[in-house]
Amino acid sequence: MTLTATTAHPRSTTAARIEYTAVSKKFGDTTVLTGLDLTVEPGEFVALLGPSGCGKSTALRILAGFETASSGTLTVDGRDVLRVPAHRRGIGMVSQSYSLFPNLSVADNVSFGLVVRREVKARRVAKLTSLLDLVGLPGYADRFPAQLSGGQQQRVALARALAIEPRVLLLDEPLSALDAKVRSSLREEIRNLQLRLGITMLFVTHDQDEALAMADRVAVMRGGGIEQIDQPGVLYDQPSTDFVARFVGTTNQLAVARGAAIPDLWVPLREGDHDLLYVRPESLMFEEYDRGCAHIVSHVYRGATTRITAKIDGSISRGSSEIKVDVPSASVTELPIGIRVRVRLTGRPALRVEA
Amino acid sequence: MVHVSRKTRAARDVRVVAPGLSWALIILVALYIAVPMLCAFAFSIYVPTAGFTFEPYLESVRDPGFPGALSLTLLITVLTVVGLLALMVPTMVYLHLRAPRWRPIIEIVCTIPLVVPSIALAAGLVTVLRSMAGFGRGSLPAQVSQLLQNPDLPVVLVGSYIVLTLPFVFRSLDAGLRTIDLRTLVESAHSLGASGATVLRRVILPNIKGPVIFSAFFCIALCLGEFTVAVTLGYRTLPVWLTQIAGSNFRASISMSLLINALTWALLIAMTVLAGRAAPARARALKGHES
Ligand SMILES: Nc1ncnc2c1ncn2[C@@H]1O[C@H](COP(=O)(O)OP(=O)(O)O)[C@@H](O)[C@H]1O
Ligand SMILES: [Mg+2]
Repeated sequence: MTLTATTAHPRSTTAARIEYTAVSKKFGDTTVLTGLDLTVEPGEFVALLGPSGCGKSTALRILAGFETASSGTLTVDGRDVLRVPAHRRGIGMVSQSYSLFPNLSVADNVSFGLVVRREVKARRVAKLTSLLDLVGLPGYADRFPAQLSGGQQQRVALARALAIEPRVLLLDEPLSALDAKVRSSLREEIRNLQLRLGITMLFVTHDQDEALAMADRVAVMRGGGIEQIDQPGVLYDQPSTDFVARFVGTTNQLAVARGAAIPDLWVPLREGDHDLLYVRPESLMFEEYDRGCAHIVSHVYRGATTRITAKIDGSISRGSSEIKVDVPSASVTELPIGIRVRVRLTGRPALRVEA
Repeated sequence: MVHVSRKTRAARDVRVVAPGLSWALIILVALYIAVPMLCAFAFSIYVPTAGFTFEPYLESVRDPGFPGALSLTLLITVLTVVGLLALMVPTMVYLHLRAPRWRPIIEIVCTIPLVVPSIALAAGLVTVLRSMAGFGRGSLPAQVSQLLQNPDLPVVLVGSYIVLTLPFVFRSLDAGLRTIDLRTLVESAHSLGASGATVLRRVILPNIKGPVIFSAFFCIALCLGEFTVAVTLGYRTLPVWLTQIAGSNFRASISMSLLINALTWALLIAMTVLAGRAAPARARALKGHES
């Protein structure tokens, strides 16, 4: 799938607006969604991010029509869809894996929705060609799903879902069964495709890197509700709760005296009321210091930067007992394992909460 | 170490012995099946007084009872296969998709015919039908009883045969549905605009073709060979007719039963070939992958 492909492709002229209002879902006694409110603008790419079991798939499946909502309303372009059967919603869906029809060739898989709609053959063929080009699989029409790699299967699933020109495309962890390399390239391709087609997309993932890299806005979910929804940068720099601060990106939790000003040099607080500062690894620095409060225990090389972990001396009952700092890999030799350091704040904490 | 080597030696011995043993077993079973049939065949075409002849076959076909028995059996067979699949395929799909908790219960219910002798089933049916007829001419139960026993369209026999095949059909379809990712396939098809019937026809059936064909075959074989229930309920199906003519023309009855047997084998082979072709995508695809 290349951005420079010149073939015509189906452009969604009817990107839809999605609005969940107080949508709840119970399975027996367990409440899985607790009054979900979420608006996705036409052409927007929103990622639902959260730990496993927080209700992401359920939220998506209610929109697709595979689950009913216990209460609340859900509209697409202002029209209530909850009572419309799944096959009349015109909502595309790509799931984790193994969703291609194993008995059908790639061509028949992609054409499935068009055949069901009784589109004329000439149009089907033209669409098939342009869709296979779009997902970077020209010439694969006669293959069967079992002959394709996981990444190729997901591309076909994408083409198949796009064939019916859905008003909305839902993706439920479409990349999580793939290996790292394919995952990151497909990540970009899906995003590019979404931008080109201008289609409204709701994307479920438990992988924060994926969510931050792809989405216009990320909705962090927890226990059946949305904790915060914002652009990736805002989510990272200004998390609204400690859950978001911990779930998105890496943070160090540093205790300071209740209400005290943010210090330049941080020292562990062992008694009294305290606030917790959530500080990103790039907003801290270690300085070699004989009477420092921590000593370096590990280096993890990550390419341009290296993550250095230092353990705070003594027992720590508030905040992290280890502090992680990212430094340019070139300067790592200045902080060898074992040396004693002090901790300097070089940037603003992402969040401060009264503990 | 000693332990390990002894174990591997044992394993090797098994492997050395196995091919010979398994061939012997296969030959034994083949003989067990083939010898009686060959004897019957020899008996049917060799008349001591007249030498080799196909006369018994012609006699059996010429018997005045044959056309009626054949058409009744074929009608029952077709209705049973259609009824069975129409009942069981949607039921099993529903069970897997919507009511997995009911699966054990349905499994037990479907297994009961295996442990109830068919004579008991037939006797029970006779009792019920009789007591329904006992309500008196024109009463609703009597009418239902009559309808079920319509001599031209014996619904009660079709129903019995469906019940008798349930244990095997349940297992076959159950296993078939387990091997595919049913929920994902169904949901994908729905989101592409396919309604329930379309999903069943275009997505589910093609992916459980093997088990469906096996079920149909099993059902056909049963319908062509079942005797107990048919005779107890008083229908002259092919097997019932066969035993009746056996009294007057034993050789003819043997030749006809051989014909039916051959038909069943032919069906089995045809179904196996069909099922082999039906499991296409994966097998064919994998072959293509290797080359
Ligand atoms: N059909 C169901 N019946 C009962 N519980 C369910 C069903 N589907 C999901 N759940 C429960 O709902 C919760 C949320 O599930 P899900 O939406 O799949 O989470 P996520 O996709 O965020 O991992 C889980 O605890 C799961 O066990
Ligand atoms: Mg999920």
